[in-house]
Amino acid sequence: MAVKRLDLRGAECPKPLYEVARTIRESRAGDLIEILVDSKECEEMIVDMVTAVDAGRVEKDAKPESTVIKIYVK
Amino acid sequence: MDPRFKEVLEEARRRVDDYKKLGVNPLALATGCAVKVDLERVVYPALSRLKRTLRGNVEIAPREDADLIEAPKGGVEVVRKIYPLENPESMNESEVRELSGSHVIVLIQVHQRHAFDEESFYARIAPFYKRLERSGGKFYIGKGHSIVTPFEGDEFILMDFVRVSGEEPDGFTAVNNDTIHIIDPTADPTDYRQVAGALNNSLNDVYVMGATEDVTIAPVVNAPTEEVREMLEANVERYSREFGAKVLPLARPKRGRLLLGATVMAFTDRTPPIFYDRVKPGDKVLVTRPIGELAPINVFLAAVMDDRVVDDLEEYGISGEEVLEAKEKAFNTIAKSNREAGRVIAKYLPRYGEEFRDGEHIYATIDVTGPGVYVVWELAMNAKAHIKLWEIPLLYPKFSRYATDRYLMLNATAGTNGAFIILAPDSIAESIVKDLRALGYPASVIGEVVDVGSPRVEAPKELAEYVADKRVLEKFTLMGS
Repeated sequence: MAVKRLDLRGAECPKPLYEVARTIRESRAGDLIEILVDSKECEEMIVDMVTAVDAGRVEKDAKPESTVIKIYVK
Repeated sequence: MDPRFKEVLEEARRRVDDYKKLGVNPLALATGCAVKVDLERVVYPALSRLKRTLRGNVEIAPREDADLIEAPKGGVEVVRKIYPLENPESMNESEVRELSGSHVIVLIQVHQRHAFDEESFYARIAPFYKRLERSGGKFYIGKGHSIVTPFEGDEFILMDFVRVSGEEPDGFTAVNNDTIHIIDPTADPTDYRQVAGALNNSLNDVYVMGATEDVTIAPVVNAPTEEVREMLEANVERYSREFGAKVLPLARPKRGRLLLGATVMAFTDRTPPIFYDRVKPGDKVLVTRPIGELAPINVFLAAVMDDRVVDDLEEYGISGEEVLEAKEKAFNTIAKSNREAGRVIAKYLPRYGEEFRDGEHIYATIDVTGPGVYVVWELAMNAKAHIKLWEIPLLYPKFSRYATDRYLMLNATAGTNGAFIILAPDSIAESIVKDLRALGYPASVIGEVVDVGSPRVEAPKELAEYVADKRVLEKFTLMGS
């Protein structure tokens, strides 16, 4: 199992979305992708995309200044 | 890298930077980064809550692509009111009461903070609907459109009150509001095709109903600078001259960075195609042209953003030249009006006041926009029909396949100012195709109704190569898989 970390704070939409998409494609079942974002818009879109393509289980830990999204790739 | 492709990408990146200096992130706008408020999770639940709380004098229509109003030709007028969303008190109830009896077309631009949560969205818009109610006037909210802004001060609610004169109706006026921010962010915002595409996109929903005459445009145009705004307005004028449309001199929001669109109206002396209950086995599914024009535009934008995409495209077997050619063609397709296709639809509709005749008239139509091929499922639901699609006609299958495989698009069959899907009896299907082809539309029959009673859509298994969104795919039974 690999753990991949993406710090996408400060990146403008849609770049974070594309980065996450690329990482999901390059991941294997069992990998964990940890994403740090500071835009609510990006957060929503990433979660929606992961759900839409059924890439894996998603967990969110929202803090005032940023959110950690964890994707357990299946 | 192909030197010409490299040059175009560099130029595009410079232009994107220019937009950013004007306070606009064009890549976000063009790729649909939460440009519209999510319908299923936010808008519909909020409207449903409003419906439950409003008294009978304010009615919210079920979801329709256009508001269809029985009216005499030329017998409607529009009064526009624009309110800052943060200030519901700006809506004067007695002033609004004077507009009683109107159909209301609503455009809401809400800050992203309120766009992802039903509760927050509801709290933002409800005060305006409550004021409408308290005015005591009678209103029918016929069509709404909700978009997102990243800028706090840009929120507004625009209400176009559409009033019908007292004369006897002799047809239907179809009304719609739609806006986009930009189609191709690597082209100048003042490129005529940007405005043409935006107006086409709004008009598409009325043309698809067979309403193509007496076209009236109430623009919703805004720009970061006065100079650009004036050029956009000039393009609206040019468009109206080209199509013999009337432009209404109504107020503009003057809030927001870049906004292209309009409330549009068009008349038909026919009854619009909403004869879902007449659909029967053997009926045919037609398309006015192949779909998926947004795929090459999105692929190009991904390449603008990231050089790794350029290398990946080459490995995939898509050259820079192909990208540029397909992107340009797609932009031109979006800028081409579907009015003539709407006229063909009208030809096969019953005249106003006449009975629908099976075997002679079209049952239903829908335009293929953001949801792409999903609209066939919507048709099947409305008609409670089991539809079998024989093919997925795509303009750029290689691009759609690539965009899906790389998750650049969740649905690479999507369009803007998209093709029309027509549900028609077998007896007239070929005749409709012939009429469309004579006008230059590469129309074809792509499927048929197998049964009626419950909705179901069968599609070729390669649909999964063009749609990454499992929530969309699960609506289809994929054949051969």
